[in-house]
This record gives sequence, C-alpha cells and structure tokens, in this order.
Amino acid sequence: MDFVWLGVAGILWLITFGLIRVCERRDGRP
Amino acid sequence: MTPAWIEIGLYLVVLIACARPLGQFMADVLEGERTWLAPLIGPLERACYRIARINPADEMTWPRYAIAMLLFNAAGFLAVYALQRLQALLPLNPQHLAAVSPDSAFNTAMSFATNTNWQGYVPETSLGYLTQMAGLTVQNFVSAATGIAVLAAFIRGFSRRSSATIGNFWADLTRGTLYILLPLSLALALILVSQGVVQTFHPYRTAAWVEPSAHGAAAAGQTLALGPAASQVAIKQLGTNGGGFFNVNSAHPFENPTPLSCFLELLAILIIPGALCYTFGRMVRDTRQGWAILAAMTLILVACIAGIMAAEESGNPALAHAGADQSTSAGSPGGNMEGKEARFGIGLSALWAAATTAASNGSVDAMHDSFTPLGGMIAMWLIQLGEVIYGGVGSGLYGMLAFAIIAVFVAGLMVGRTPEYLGKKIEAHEMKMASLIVLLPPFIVLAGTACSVVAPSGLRTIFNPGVHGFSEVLYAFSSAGNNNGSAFAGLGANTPWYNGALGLAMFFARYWLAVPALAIAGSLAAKKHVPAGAGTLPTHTPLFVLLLIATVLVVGALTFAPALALGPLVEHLMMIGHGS
Repeated sequence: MDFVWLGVAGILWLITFGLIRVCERRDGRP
Repeated sequence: MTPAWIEIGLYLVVLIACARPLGQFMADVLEGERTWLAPLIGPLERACYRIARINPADEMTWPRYAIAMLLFNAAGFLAVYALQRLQALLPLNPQHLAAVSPDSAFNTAMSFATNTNWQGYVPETSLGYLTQMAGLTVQNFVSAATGIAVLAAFIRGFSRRSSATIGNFWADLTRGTLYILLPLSLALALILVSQGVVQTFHPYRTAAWVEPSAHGAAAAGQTLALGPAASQVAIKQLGTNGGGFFNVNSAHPFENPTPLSCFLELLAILIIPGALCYTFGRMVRDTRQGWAILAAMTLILVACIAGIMAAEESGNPALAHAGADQSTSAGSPGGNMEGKEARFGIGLSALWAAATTAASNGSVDAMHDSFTPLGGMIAMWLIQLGEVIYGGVGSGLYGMLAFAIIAVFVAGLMVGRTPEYLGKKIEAHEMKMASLIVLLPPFIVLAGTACSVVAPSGLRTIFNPGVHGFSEVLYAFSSAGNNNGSAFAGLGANTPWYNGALGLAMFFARYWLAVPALAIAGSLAAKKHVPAGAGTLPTHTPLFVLLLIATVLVVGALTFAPALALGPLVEHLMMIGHGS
C-alpha cells in the first residue's frame, strides 16, 4: 500500500510542476 | 464591559502593538540586512549555506523559485511519511507504538508539509517522540518558513522594478527559520515550560486514583501521556500550524496550564501574520499600505469574535426547554458551556476559536462541534473566507494581497482606468492568477463535501446523521481546503476515504495557490513602476479598507451561503424551534 500512497503523492507533485509550466506560458513574456 | 471583552481588548492592543517592532525586524531579515541577532545566528546561517552548497546571492526566476519550494516540500512529505511508517524500528518510542497505517501516514505527512496540521490520528496512541519531534515539529518550522519565503517573493514583485528575479528560496527559507521562527519558539517554549507544559523523554506515567473505589479494581490508575510537548506547542502556535501534541490540543493542562500560557499562546497565533502586514509596508516603502491591510483583517476578526461570543452566550434554547439552567450565576458562567473548558469559559473559547480559524491554526481550546450552530458557523466561515483574515504565516498575507489585486481591478472597472496597485499595472495575467488563488479553495471545499455526502465510504463514518453531520463534513473540507487544520471532530476521519480526500484537498490548497502567487510575483517584478496619477486609486485609505473587506466578504458569502444554509443555518432554525 505504501507504493499506492507514495504514487499518489508523486503524481500530485508532478502535475504541480506542470502548473508552473502552464502559468509560465500564460505569462505573455519571453 | 464584561471581563471577557476586557481580556479580548487587551489581547488586541498587545497584538497590534507588536506589529511594528516585529514587522520591522522581519523586513530587515527578509531584505537580507544585518539584524541584532546576526552575531549569534550569522555563523549558523553561513554554516547552513556551506553544508547545503547554497549561494544566497544567487537570484531565482519565479519558476526556479517555485520548483525549489516544491522539491523542498516533497522531501519534507517523504521524511514525515517514512518516520511514521518506520517508527516501530526507530528510537525514542518508549510506548512501543506500531507503524502508522499507509493512508493515515499519507494524510499526516501531507497535513504537516502543507502547514495544515489536520490530525486524523490520536497523537498519544499513534506517534512516538521521534516522529513528533523530527517529523511534525520540524515541519512546523519549515512549512511556516515556506509561507514566509513565498510571501517575501510576492512582496518583491511589488518592490522590484524591471527585474527578472524574485529572490533566493533557500536563503528566504533559512533566514525565516533561523532569525524569525527559531528565536521566538525557543523563548515561548521556555516560558511554557515555566508554566507547567511538559518537556520530557520519559515514558507515560500512571497516576493512582484519588478515590480508587469509584473506578473498580480493574483500573490501577490513569495513564498520563507525556513527551516533549513545550517545544512543539511553541512552534505550533507561532507557525500557525496547530497540531496538538495531545489529542485535546490546547484544552489539555499539559499543553496550556495557566492564564499566562493561554494568553501567550493566543498571542503567538496571530503575532507573526499581523506583524507581516507591517513587514509588507516596509518592503514596499509605504507602511500605510501594511496598516490598511491589517485594519481590514482586524475589523473582520473583531466582528467574528463578537458573533461567536453572542451566539455562545445566548445558550441553547433546546436545553432551556428541557429544563437546563443556562443563566449566569456564582457557579456557572452561563450560556452554552457544552464542550468548553471551565477554565476558559465562553470568552476565551470564542477568542481562541476566532483567532485560530482566522489564522489557519488548527489548535483548539474548546470543542467546535459543541458550539451553537451559529457560533460554529462563524468559525467555519472564517476558514472559508480563504484564511486571509491574518491567515497562515505568509500564506494569509499573500492570499489577502490577491484579494487586494481583485479589489483594485474591480475599482478600475468602475472608473474605466487600467487598474494599478503599488505602482504596478494589474493586467490579464495577474488577474487570472489572483482568480485561481481566490476560487480554487471554494471549489476544493464544495467538491470534496459533495463527494463525501454521496459516496458510501464518506457516509459510513458520519456519526451524526442529518444537518449536523453535513456541517461536520463541510467543516472538515473547509479546514483541509484552506490549510487550517481544526475540526468539528464528530466525524470519523481516520479512514482511507477521508485520509485520501482531505490529503488531496490540503495539497491543492497549499501549492496550487503558492505557484500562482509566485507567478504574480514574477510578472509584477518584471514591470516598470507607474507613478501615481490623478486616476490612481489610493490603497491606504479607509475607503480602500472597506472595498477590500467587501471583496473578501462577497466572495466568501456568495460562495458558501448555499452550503451553510444546508448545515448550520438549518440546525439553528431547528434549535430555536426546539427540534434538535
């Protein structure tokens, strides 16, 4: 079960790194 | 004026009086200036940088700052998770407590990494001393310091001009921990020990009954849980964390034994978030801006303290109908005393409830579940406003500044001018990010509550069916979805469903707000300064304070009114109709 819960946490952090990219692209600046 | 109001008035005076000196000190720390603590802490700070190979002068862009923040918090999550799962094999576990279940370990690790301190577990019977100290107490420090760091970067967005960078996360984290949190916690912990808060590695003790016959031969005595509580209690309040060393939190005499400990713990809850408003004013070179934000926060807080006090003092008509005497007398403070410590009474219970729910601090000195429906609703609503009324250390102020950005945008729309705040133009990108900060927590709270009241796994551990059970679930998701951590506590939350769902809520409420806040900082820092003109809205005036309060209240009131109508409002109507 540890892998399940740690996997969930890993996905959460990964999609948040994705959020940084999205916010960066929407910034409108180079 | 009642003694309770004198106490509350004194509390507010001391709190506001501390804002300037502490705020000035924190501004110096966050701007990297030399402070009077430098001879003592400077060598420690430099040693931290050397060991971690950090150059504090290395400036970061906002994405780099955000990635450093996320990686550091991921490491904290993993450390707390591992400590819980391996505690049976580790030292400093004199009660030989077993490993925590995986779902509870996930929830608790997420809770403490995100500065929430929601506690689905019972500390005395679940966590050994090493887990409490190396896991939870360390996270109490660094999660609060993370909030301070993100706020420092956010403020630099306003104070810097045409800059591609917003500071160095590692330097902000280190300086926030070493210069601000550590000295204050050390001082408070020592005072708490002097008042009787326990601080020991000794195993739990058994106290003999005073009247053994009353409890039968089977009970040899009462087990008294002990542990290194004072060091954790100090930072749990100062860092707006709130996770109790003992299950009943600050109602426990080993956590909060005397009137002085109670006053100082209450002060510790709001002192840093309050003083950070002054820090903000100093860093943007206009302290009036900080006072305006502090005024808006304090006005809402005082109104909510009064509301909770009035609701609790009015008592419960259903109990009166059943013949219970709730009037004030020599032997009773009167009103609704169910679930309240007799030492604190209604006044200090109301003040504590308002201060903690305003400040994203999960500690309690009374059972919020036993408050009258309206008293409990006000505490819940303070959380639902987004934890911006003082709020969490750092996170409260950057949340409030997001509301300020929305307020100036609304004002700009009214007069047909491009909105600007502190000399920076507020454009589409900043508004999108601010909207995310303001709207994401309500979505998490309402979606989580809705799922839990229809899913069988969620319904199974609602022990109060009906409207009160709904209020308990709504409170739980409000608490997790705004990183508060307190609970109505009637809900059976230590289940895979709630451990998972509330863990997700805490994660998104913390990091999906911090990342947009940093994005705003990066965007604003890159902009040029616009001189104030005839069309500029002054943001230090009483008019702006009222506009800011209205923005916060309208968002909070409109978003949660339907859900509150289904829970505490219905319960209140049932109560006054003697139906509950």
